[in-house]
Amino acid sequence: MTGSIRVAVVDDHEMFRAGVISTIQNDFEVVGQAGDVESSIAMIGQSQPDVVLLDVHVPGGQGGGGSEIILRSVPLSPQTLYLALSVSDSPADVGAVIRAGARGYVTKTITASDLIASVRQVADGYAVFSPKLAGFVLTAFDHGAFSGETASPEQTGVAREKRHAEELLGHQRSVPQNNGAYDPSEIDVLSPREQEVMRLIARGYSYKEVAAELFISVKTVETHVSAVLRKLQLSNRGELARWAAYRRIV
Amino acid sequence: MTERKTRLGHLVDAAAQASENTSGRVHPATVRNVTSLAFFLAIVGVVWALVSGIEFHIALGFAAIFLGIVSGWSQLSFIMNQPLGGVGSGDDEALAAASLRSRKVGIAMTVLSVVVTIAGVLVLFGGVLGPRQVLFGALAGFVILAAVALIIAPWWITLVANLGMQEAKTAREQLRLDFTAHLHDSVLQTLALIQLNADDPKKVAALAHAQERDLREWLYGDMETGSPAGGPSSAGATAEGVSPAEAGAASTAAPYTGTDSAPESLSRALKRLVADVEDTTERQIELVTVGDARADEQTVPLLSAAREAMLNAAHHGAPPYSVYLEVSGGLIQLFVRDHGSGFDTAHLPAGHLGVSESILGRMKRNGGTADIDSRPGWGTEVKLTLHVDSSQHAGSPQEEEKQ
Repeated sequence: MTGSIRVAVVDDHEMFRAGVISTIQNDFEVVGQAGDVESSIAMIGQSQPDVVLLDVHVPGGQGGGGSEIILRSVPLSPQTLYLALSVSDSPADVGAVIRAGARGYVTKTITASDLIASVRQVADGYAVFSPKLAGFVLTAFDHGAFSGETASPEQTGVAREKRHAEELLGHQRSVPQNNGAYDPSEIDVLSPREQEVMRLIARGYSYKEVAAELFISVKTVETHVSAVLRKLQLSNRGELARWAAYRRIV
Repeated sequence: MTERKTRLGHLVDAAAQASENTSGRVHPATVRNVTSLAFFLAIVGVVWALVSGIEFHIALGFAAIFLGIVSGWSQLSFIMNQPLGGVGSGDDEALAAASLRSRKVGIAMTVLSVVVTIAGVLVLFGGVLGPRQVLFGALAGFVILAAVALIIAPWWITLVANLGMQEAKTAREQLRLDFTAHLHDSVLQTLALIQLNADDPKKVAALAHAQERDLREWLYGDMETGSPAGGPSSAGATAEGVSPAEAGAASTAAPYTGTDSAPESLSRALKRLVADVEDTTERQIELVTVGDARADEQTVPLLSAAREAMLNAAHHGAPPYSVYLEVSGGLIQLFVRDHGSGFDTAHLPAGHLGVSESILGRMKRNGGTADIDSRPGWGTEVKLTLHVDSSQHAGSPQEEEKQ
């Protein structure tokens, strides 16, 4: 499997791009690179990579950066997966690429081995959650609030949210697991297990440690994380909606 | 006339100086003084002229011209003193209103002075010449004035435009200087330090990380974290926050209570605390917060214990270090995790005051709990919990970041 993953790198900072490529080229096949929105979309359409390492802030296009690249590349290369690389961990930036369909994000200070592991994880169809992203999810999904407490005041919003979710679905390819069989009312809440997983990740646990802590397999942890990511992309609740509106994605 | 003008100049200077020396709202009085003085001088002049046998209309004409010119000139000191008077009087709105009012008064005064001066000229010549001739003379005067105004206009416009450009340039230059000063004090200094410590990778990493944090705060707002310069929010400071005395009692070294006394959120206080530990230990700590509460005397022991746990992790553990804060209702949970080799919690070495006293004891005394989970090869996690008054539950950190 090593060497068979085809990776493309998108970053407008040439030195950084070169650094990333030299870091990963022993483990993956680097099939393309680009520095702005238009050439990135062309490059992704042409080279059909398995995974794109994607900077959040990329110039060009309509100014949408990484999220614009994802949304416009999906029709050209439907099976490509995206891992956002960001120097910023501002929720607005990260939220935008995740909403657009990125499978996770890592900061640019990540170590080489972690980056390689993350790319592999994405290529395997799983999400990459940093502690910050987990914290963001817990905040966005009204941490600690279970369906019974929060659903009632927002009943009227459910239908609208469902519609939004369906609109978003149109932009997204199907993910290996969770074949879109979600009850829309469940999109806005995390299951207790998912909350536990998120909380442990936010506390700095690795997937393996989370698995050991909860007496489940690493695969199950990855499944939970992917499910959360999917909810994050489909949900339209408060925080998320505001970020999305701010970035004009929805 | 010339003698009067020099006297007038003195007057204006004196008035300007007077209002410059005395602070506060003196300028309307000053203008009134100048005007009444001018009136007085005009009356004296007229009386003197009548006594000397000069014709009345000539004296009256000169007096009117003099008054007109003085009232015109009084604008000079008025305008020049306007900003001085406004400085002490506080908020911008009042200042703007005052300057608008003074501008209206200024226009009125200018119109008045022109009218009075023209009337003076007409009176002066009306006595010597016939009405037709005065009319023609006045017409000729207006034509000459208009012509001169047209001739001077380009020069005047250029002057005004240049002034505007100059102001914009000064503002730009000021902005550039601010940037330069900031970059010089922060980034350049750090780069110099990095070059000096090039053979110490740990130090270099710590320096780069601290600088990154600083620059991020500077670029993306959130001013009050980190820098002691004090953000805009410190304006409404009350004694409600963590008082230094209490903090000192709770912990001998707790710099997070540092300089500001403004009420702040727990997540922000923790952020600053983490930054401080990062700086002193040269380690990188990942901080995640969910929910928020107000930082007050209740949370001081929590932060002190967290600081102790972080220092322990940094000194005895191994990276990655994580700190996680979750506030839900009235429950605050704080986790400090490291990936070191762990230690045996049942057999703490004697004299190991850090853990037993600073963390376990402190939390217990203040109505909270502390659990230490440490396993060989897994690392250590310190879990601190504290119940606070749930009415203090504040907005989420993301909401704050958006502002």
